[in-house]
Amino acid sequence: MNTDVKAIVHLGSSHPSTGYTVHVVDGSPIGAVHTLQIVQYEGDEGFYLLYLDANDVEITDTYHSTLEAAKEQARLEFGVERNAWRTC
Amino acid sequence: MPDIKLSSGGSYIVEPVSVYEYDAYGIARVTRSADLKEPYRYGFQGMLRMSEVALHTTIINDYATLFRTYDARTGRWTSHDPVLQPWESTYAGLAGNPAMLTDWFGLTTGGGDQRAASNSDASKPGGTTPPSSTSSSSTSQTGGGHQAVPLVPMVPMTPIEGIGHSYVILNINVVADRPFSLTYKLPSLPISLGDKPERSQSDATSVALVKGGTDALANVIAGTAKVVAGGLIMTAGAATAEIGVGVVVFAVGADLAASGVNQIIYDTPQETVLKQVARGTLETAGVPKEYAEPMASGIEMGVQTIAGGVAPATSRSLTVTSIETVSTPGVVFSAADDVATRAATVLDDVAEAGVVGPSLVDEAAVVVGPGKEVAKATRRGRAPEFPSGTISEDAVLNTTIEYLGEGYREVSPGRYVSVDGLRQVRYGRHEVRVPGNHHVHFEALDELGRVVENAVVRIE
Repeated sequence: MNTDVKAIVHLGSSHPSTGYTVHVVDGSPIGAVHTLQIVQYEGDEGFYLLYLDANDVEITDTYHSTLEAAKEQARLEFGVERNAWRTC
Repeated sequence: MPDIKLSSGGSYIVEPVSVYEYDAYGIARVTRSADLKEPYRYGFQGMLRMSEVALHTTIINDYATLFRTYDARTGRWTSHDPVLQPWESTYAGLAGNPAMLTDWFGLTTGGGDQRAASNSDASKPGGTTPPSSTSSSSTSQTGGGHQAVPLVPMVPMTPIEGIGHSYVILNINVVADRPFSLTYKLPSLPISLGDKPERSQSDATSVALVKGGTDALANVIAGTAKVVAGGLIMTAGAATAEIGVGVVVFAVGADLAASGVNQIIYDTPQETVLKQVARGTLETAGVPKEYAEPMASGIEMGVQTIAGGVAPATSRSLTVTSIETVSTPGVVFSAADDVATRAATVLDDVAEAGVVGPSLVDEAAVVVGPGKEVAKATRRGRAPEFPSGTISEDAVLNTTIEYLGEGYREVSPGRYVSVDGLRQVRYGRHEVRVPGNHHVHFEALDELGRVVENAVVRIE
């Protein structure tokens, strides 16, 4: 399954979690998210917002039907503005 | 009176040192009070005169106790009790009953048994030893031990004009051995805001929980954002409050701040501004003044982050996050008739989160014992809970149906959404692409389809 990375942003101190979304993995809240990545998989029309840790390991993800919706999710959760994304 | 006997021809005489007459709350009647010799250090109810600690030489009506100072002119303490009591202001002195009650320490109002409940040193005015935290059943203890006591039903406050609901404060003090989250779905109650237009959730969330806090609060001040009564006014740390019927102010600790989850603005001019605005905002929202102040102060006590925001009037959930060893009181406003249930629910939720031994501390605090696993982090009714964070493949289908309810549909391959569009389950190619890491997402969405809860459950 080919992956097409659409956009990426590294979260710093200017992007604290707003707590808008509660992420739980294996029964525990997730730790700090260092990078957000929006990817699209071959054969899938949707966009996945990937939450990566400091080692760029995927912690969790959310699904969005459009690229803008994925960015909106990131804005709500971390205050990532549109112009902060680096388009790949 | 002196504490020595003066002998005079086989009898004893009394030589007054000071004579004071007080009104009910401790104001010395000037024309009927005097220090006949040297000023006597103790005054009303045996409290230490402020003249002893503030170098005053005249009769004043302030008194010092171990924890707080008392102003007899108002019958109130000059600083608040960090432990909130839902039935009274945290500045209230002597429970409004100075004739029957005493409070020698500025700690807790007691009756005649207060002396017996304290040790011999602490029972003396100005003593240096605070009373035992377990010596009284009172809940107004500062930094006391965590003694489990039954939940005391909350006392509803007077309905707030223009809002239409009674509110009480539920003070939840959560101590946990590790971070965890519980999400509460609160009933959606109509909130009348008079002629103020209601805003949509997108309007509200666009300014909620801003990074620096000032933008949102500025929006509030400017009127571009609405503060809904009982809705989110401000929140501390990672706690998110977006409640149609209540407010939560919760503090979290340094761990989340260090990880970047929180933004520390402590001891900065910005913080001062936020505190001031917070108080005003709370009052503007209809929170009675005596509660607005403790709430703002409560933020001060445990503050690592202050973020301002506005909650939509229609939102129904709140998230409380706590981390280890943090015991800063949180404040939840809730409908008066539902508070007792709410408090009990908190206990249930903590227990069902896989934490053993939650108990009420003081008034309505929840304590989670150390070393306990937090496995089921999301509350039932939203994302499903699994004790081990895993589910069998056979159970996925039934659990999905149970979670989504009747009439759910597959909106795209591997993505299933409930009829109301507020719940989603994802179990498609993406979730099974990594061998040995098959998982399923149980998610809750807001009205605009944005993810507010996302529980990843492994399939074993």
